[in-house]
Order: sequence, then C-alpha cells, then structure tokens
Amino acid sequence: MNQKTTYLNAGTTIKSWLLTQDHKRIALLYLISITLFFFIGGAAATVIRLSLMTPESTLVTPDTYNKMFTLHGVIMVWFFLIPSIPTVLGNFLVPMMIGARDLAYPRLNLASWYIYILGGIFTLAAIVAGGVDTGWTFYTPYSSMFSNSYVIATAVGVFITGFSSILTGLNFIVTIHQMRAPGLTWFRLPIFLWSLYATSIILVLATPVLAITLLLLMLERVFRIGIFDPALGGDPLLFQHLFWFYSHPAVYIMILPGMGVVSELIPCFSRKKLFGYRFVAFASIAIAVFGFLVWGHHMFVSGQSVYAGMIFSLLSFLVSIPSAIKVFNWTATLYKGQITYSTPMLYALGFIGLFTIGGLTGLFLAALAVDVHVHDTYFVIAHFHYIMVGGMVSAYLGGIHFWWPKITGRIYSEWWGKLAALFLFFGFNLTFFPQFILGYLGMPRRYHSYPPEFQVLHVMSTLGASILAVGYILPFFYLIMSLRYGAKSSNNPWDATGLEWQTESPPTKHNFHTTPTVTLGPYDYSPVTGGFIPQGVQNG
Amino acid sequence: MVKSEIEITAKYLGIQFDNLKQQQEAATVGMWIFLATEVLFFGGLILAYVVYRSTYPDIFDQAGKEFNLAIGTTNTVILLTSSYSMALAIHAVKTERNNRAANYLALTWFLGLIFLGLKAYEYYDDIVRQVIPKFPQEYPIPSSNTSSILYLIYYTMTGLHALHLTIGLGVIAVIF
Repeated sequence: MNQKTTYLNAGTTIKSWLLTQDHKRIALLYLISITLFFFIGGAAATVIRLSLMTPESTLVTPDTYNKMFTLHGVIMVWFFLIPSIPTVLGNFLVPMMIGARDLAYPRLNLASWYIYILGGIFTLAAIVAGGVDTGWTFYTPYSSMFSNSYVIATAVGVFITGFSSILTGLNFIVTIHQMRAPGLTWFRLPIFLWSLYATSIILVLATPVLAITLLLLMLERVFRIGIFDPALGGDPLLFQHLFWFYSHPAVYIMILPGMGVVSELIPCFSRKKLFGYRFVAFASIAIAVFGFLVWGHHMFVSGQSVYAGMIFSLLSFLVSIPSAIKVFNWTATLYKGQITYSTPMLYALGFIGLFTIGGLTGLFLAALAVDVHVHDTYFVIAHFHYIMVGGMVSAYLGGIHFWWPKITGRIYSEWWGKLAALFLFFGFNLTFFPQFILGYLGMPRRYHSYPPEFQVLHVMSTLGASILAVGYILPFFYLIMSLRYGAKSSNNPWDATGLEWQTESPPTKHNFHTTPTVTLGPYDYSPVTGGFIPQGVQNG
Repeated sequence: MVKSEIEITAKYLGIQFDNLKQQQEAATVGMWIFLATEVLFFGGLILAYVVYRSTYPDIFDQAGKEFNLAIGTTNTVILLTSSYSMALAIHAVKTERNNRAANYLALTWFLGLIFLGLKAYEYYDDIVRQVIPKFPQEYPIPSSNTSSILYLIYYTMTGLHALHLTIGLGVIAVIF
C-alpha cells in the first residue's frame, strides 16, 4: 500500500517524539500531558463534590478537603486552563494558519514543554508528599508562615511552569509578526490568531510578576523575614496586589483563546462572514489591555482604599464592553446563516450562552456593594466556572473536535460527539447554576461543611457534576476510537476557509509543499449556496 | 548572491525561515520581548522596595547607609561601560568589522567578570559587617526591627542580577 508521508509517520522512534522540533508533534505532547493533568484536577473536583453531598463531610477530613480544593485549583489553572488552547491548538495551528513551516523558535517550543513537565513534576511531588492546603491563591501570611503543608514544592512547580508560558507567548508573538505568508496582512488573519496574539501579550507581561511574587513568598517562608506577614513588618496587601496583577490577566489568558476558537467555528457552521471582523479583532486587544487594570476588584473587602475600589469597579465594567462586542458579533453572524448543528458548533453555541451568563454575573461582582454580599461565596465560584468551564472548556473541546480531522486525519463519531456536547452543557448548568443561589444565600467558598438547608442545592450540584463527568469521559474514548476505526478525513472536511485546510490531513512535516499566497481575508462563506473561497492556495 | 553568502545561508538558516533577514528580525523581536518580561520580573521587586521604603522611611534610610558606596558606584560605572561596549560590538558586526566586534565582546566579558568580582567582595564585606537580614528571634517582631526587609530585598535583587550576569557571560563565551 502506498502510504502518504505525514508529520505523524515521519519518524516513529520515541526519540523522534521526545526531541522533535515539529510544532505539530509538540502540540500532541502537550495534548497528552494536559489531558492527564485535566483528569487529575477532575478527580480532585469529584472528591469535593462527593464530600459536599452531606452537610457534615463523611467522606474526607476537613484537612483533606482543603488539600483537594487546592489541588483542583492549582492543577486546573496552571496545568490545564492556561496551557490548554495555546499550547495544543495554538502550537498546532499558528504556523499552519499563517502559511509557515514552523514557529519562529522550534527549540524554545520544545523547551517550553519540558519546563512545563518539570513544573508538573514538582507539583505532583508536593501532592504525593502530602498536598498543600492554601487554596490556589496562596494567600499570605497563611501560606508563608502558618500552613504545615508542601507550599514550597507547589510554588516551585508553578514558578517553573510560568517560564513555559512565557516561552510560548514569546514564540507566538514573534511568529505572528515575522512569518506570515505573502499577502497575509494583519486584517486577513483569522480571529483565532488575533486572540492568541492578545493572549501572548498577557503571557509575557503578567507571568514574570507571578514568578517574582512566588519567589518572595518562598523567601518569607524559608527565612521568616517579613515581606508579606504584618507580624514581621510585611504587608499582606502587597501580596494580593502582586498576585492579582498576574492572576486577573491570567483569567483572560484562559478565555481569550476560547473566544478565538468560537470565532472560527461560528462563521464556518453558519456559512457566513464573521460580523464586524475588525471589532472582534480589536476587542481581543482591548480585553488584554483593560485586563491589566482591573486586578483590584478581587480586593474590594481587603481594606484597600475606597477610591481605588471605585476606580477598579469602573474599569471592570469597561472590560464588559469588548466582551459584549464579541457576543453580539457572534450572534449577528448566526443571523440568516445556514446553520449546521455539528459537534463543534454545539460547543460554540454552548460557549456563547454560558460565557454570557458568566460575564454578566461578573458585573454583579464588579459592583462594589453587591460584591460585599457575595464576596468569597459560591456566587463567585459559579461565576468563574461559567467562564472557565462553561466558556473555556467548551471552546477547547469544540476546537479539538473541529481540528481533530486535521490533527489526526480521522473523523470521529458525530453521534457520540453531539451526545457528549449535550451532556457537558446540561451537566454543567446543573452543577453550577445552583451554586449562584447557594452563594447568594450565603454559602462561603472553601468550607467542608454547611447548614442542612443548603443540602438540596448541593445535591443538585453533585448530580450535575456526575453528568458533566460523563461529558468529559465520552470524548476521551470516542476520539481515541476514531484513531483506529474513524473514516479517513479529506483535506477540508468542513469546507472551511483557513490556510490550515488547504493542505493534507494530517499535514506533512513542513505543513505545506510550497508557501501559500494569500489573496483574501478569512471567512469568505456564502450563506446562500453554502460555498466558500479559501484564503489562499499553495503555489505551483 | 556570492558563493560565501549561499554557504552561510545553508549553514545558519532555520528551515522555518525564508531568508536570513527574516531570521535576524525574528531574533531581534524575540530579544525585545524577553527584555519586556525582565522589566516586569524585576518590576515586582522594585515595587516591593518602594512600598517598604515608604512604609519605613527612617529605618530604610539608616540601614541603607550601611551599604558600601564606593563599590556600588564603581560597579554602576562598570556596568554602564560594559553595556556600551556591547552596543559597540553589535554596531561593529552590523558594519562587518568582525575583529573589532570580537574585541568589544571580550571587553564586555571582562568588565562583567570584574563586576562579579567586586560584587563578591562587596557581599563578603557586607557579611563580615553583619549587613544581612537577621532571622527573627521573636514573633511578632518589634516594628523598629525591620531593616531585615531592606537587606532581604537587596540580596534578592542583586543576587538575581548576578545570576543574570553569569548567564550573560556564559552566552558571550559561547558566541565568542
């Protein structure tokens, strides 16, 4: 049989994978590792939800409960959400979408994966040794002076992983600036690339601040010399300012790539041009910029100046403008489109609804007086899970399904795909909507026990979580099955316009046989005929 | 294209790039972004310094007088001079005067080494004179005893800087 040469069979030794400089193989290394971390973080969430079935926890001790929510937060934030779309879909697609053979720095790209794994090993070692109980926010002075758990090992893990984020961001910015194919002007870039560009700006500018903050925390813990502990002359608010200067922009690291994916899916499955391309493109940049100026809204009840609180509240409201522009533009794109409810589209539509709920409840939290009532309650938990899980995980899975035929050359089972997307949507809402009510009624976050009158809502949430779990586990199986039993995919199974669809599925080692020339912007779909014009073609 | 240029291109051009100019520009952009991350990295420390200086102005003023002014000033001059010679080296490369570039690189390297030597002596001197953060004997500490914060920030900042410099010397040695 005459087999095509693809990036997958260009080398079959373990070395050819572990020392690869091919961005597509590195994307797969990341895919496997973040999937592993996702299921570890998910297992911790399972323990949390099971333990909250009853008002007094019978499953785990309070200490273990604290370690479980910390584990869940640390793993999900730094080892799944932040790397997810950028390192898997971004690594795979950035060079392909701009018609390049690879990222600008292939070796740094490989190094970033090793750094990520090294950070992961430290964090997992801390968990195996006995865990950490500070919450993912590492608030001082508890973390630096009082916690008897493995804070340093965990902080070192997060510190190291940060450098992998920085390298990824740096690589994307340089690549998008320098390596676009002839004719691919900035305003012809797919929105996914605008989103990743905005994400990368945050990655390179915010992550170093987290690194230095964790370093100071570790110094205080080791030497017991006051940096953040007021009893030693330090200032705990300084820690919160530094931490949120990173961690609030990090929220946009987690959601912007998801917005990018959705901006690719909606036009393709409505067969329409994206409504208001330039607005959507600039909205990404605006979110990245405003995102740096709102960190103080995490500190409304911390004792920061009331005027600072007012300014941070106002700026937080301003972030909703570019976010809303995106939601309106996606919706306007659907209008009079020729909509197909395929699996990626179900995820994308789910994203719009869930992101909207998550975003609007963010405005409740940005309002000073309302925040005092719901601060540190399940309302906050529900709010950010609507963005992180309802938004980002939906977009991630939507993207994985959309580009799966390109990545693997195989078609997955559409029936199972739709079923999983529906499980995710309904399971998610059943898990987290009750938490808005719980929080409003006064259920504080991070508590292992609660008054009996909250039990009904907690049981609903746990029930939803088990449905959600099915929604996560299903794709794991049918996607792997598709590798063996799935039909072979054509080059462009969705009739999409991007450059990545104009080459083979799976692509050859250097993506294109000749550098493509770009003649059009993206999303040239016809809602009347359902036809499309690709952005460019390979020369010769 | 003359033959040597073709050879250089074949030897040094990464497969992902179309030509050396593109590769060169990519490296430059990457370096600027790296510098931006460094600004933010040290920015956090500088912020901490500013916060505590304004919280404890008298103690910082007093404790700051313990530092070795002569070495600090000398090292600042050396540092700026070595930056200048590095800039001259880059300029020499751009104008294709490779010998001159090599000399400037060597100068930069030696100035860096002198800086590290002086810094090491300064640390030694500081430690001998007990200009170091003290492990607190009591918790909470009396508010008059906060000079340790200044010294901790000082050693963190200068230590990280020395680490950067050491890596820099290694990189120059490799280029050389």
